[in-house]
Amino acid sequence: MQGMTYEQGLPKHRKGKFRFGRALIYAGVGLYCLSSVLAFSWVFMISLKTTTEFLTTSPWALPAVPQFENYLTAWNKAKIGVYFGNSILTSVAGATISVFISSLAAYVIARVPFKFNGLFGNYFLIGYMVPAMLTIIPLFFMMVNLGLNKGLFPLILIYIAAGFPFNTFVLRGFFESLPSELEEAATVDGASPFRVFWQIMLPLAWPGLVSTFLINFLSLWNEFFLALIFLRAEDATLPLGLFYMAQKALYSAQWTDLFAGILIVSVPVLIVFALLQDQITRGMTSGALKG
Amino acid sequence: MYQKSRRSLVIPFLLPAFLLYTILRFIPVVQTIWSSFTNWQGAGREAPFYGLRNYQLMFMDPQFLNAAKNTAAFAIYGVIILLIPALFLSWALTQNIKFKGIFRFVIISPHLLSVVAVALLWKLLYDPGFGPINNLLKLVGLKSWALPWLGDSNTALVAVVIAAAWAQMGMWVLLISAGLERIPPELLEAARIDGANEWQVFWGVTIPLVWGILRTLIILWIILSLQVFAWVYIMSGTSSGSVLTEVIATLLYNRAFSSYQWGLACAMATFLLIVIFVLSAVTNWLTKREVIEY
Repeated sequence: MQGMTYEQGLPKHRKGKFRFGRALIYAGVGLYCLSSVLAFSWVFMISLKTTTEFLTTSPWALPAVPQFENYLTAWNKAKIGVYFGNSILTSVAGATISVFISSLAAYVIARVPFKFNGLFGNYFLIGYMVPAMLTIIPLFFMMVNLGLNKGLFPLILIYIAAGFPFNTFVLRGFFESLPSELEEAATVDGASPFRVFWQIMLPLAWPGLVSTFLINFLSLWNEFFLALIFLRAEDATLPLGLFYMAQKALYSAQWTDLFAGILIVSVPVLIVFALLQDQITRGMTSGALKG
Repeated sequence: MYQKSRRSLVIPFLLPAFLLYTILRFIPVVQTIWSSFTNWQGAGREAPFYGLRNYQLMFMDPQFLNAAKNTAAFAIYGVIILLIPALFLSWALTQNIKFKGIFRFVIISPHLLSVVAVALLWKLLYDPGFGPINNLLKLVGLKSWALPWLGDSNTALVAVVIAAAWAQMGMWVLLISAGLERIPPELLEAARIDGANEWQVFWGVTIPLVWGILRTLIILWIILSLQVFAWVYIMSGTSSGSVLTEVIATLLYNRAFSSYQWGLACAMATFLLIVIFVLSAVTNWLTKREVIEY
């Protein structure tokens, strides 16, 4: 029954009529997708032009000689390489630590009956509805007062905490869905609660951990607002650095660098998505749908 | 019985998350709400109690009212722009067509890109000088249509919303098509046998069944719109178009980090929080049709 489409269910005489509908569908979806692809191709094409070409020729004209060096210039002179490294650091550290700490909390909330169990679950969940706006001003002063106004560390801390609402929610679901037999068996065999968690439940929840990590990583990789507030220009992550580049481009005319930068930010994400489509979509849907 | 022994894990396992979360999220929120009632204007600790004065100032500020209007408009435009295309694309993806994988990839991937990348992409596309949109319009002879999208008072906000909607479309299509796929074909068959045409089947059977998902998506979009910052800041920023697109979040940012009116900014933030809570509750209540189980 799964996978039976509209068309298969139709009586024979309706199928012909559907051909026209099919064409319309292809047209609609095709048009939408084509424009998206065109937009990106345009960015790619411009990134290969020289600055003079960009300023003088038509937007749709092809570059005379593709300037792949633009990417090297963007990486080195425009410092995108530095920003890239900063992004990797903040995203990997932030996501890993956040998911790990969340898994600890999620495990006990999901599988250990204790008083206030639900309360803690909701405590973390409420954060989802509270916009970052409400935390930034006191946090800003907190960081300044603690001397944490340099480098990536303050931002990583904030990223870790920011992930808790989503991570604990999703991981709770994963832990709840695990069967108890292994847990019981191990406990009967004399394993300490910690070992039960570490060597049995955690490995079992691995797919869930990976999906959650991926979603977390992606959102941190793309994050802009907190980076804008808590990072100095020298320590910028990729999104923030790109933003500063865009502002500079207005008077420095380094447009081609900017275009290259946009692709450098985006292409890794697209590649990761292409390779891990299932994991990622699973993580995305688990946050919004129930079961 | 063996469960109780696991209680020993509770405190150590909860502590890291609880500590970090409380220090970095809960306490700052409380501080913000508290500060909204003070006249906090410097980096010093002087924060004389101000009562509701900040809120009064806020509601009487024409700039704030403009920002509030834009914020609401952002939310509404977004839902309008997203709904039909998302439904169409999701439905199309459940049909028996080829290249589904590629279509899904192209539709969903903008959602995974950074706000900065997408906002800049669209800003460049919209550029009156070298942007391809206007260039294309001029090429086909529609020169009068080639407006300065981000600078024109009629189009500026919608232009930003289009960019944000394009990015959000992936999420909508992903979730709606997941919901559509879970509809048992028998239900649709039964409707057809009863004489309904495709249109009636869609509106009478399919839509009610994905209504729960649509409601979630709309609420999520509204919450996103209320606090939208990056889209507007990056696409309009401090340029001449900013009054046209200024939203509460960008005004808040300016009041806080440019004018140092911290108390006022906190009031705006608290106001946002209240609105989000109230709106979520109201939307939930208003659209409380039974989520149909099957």
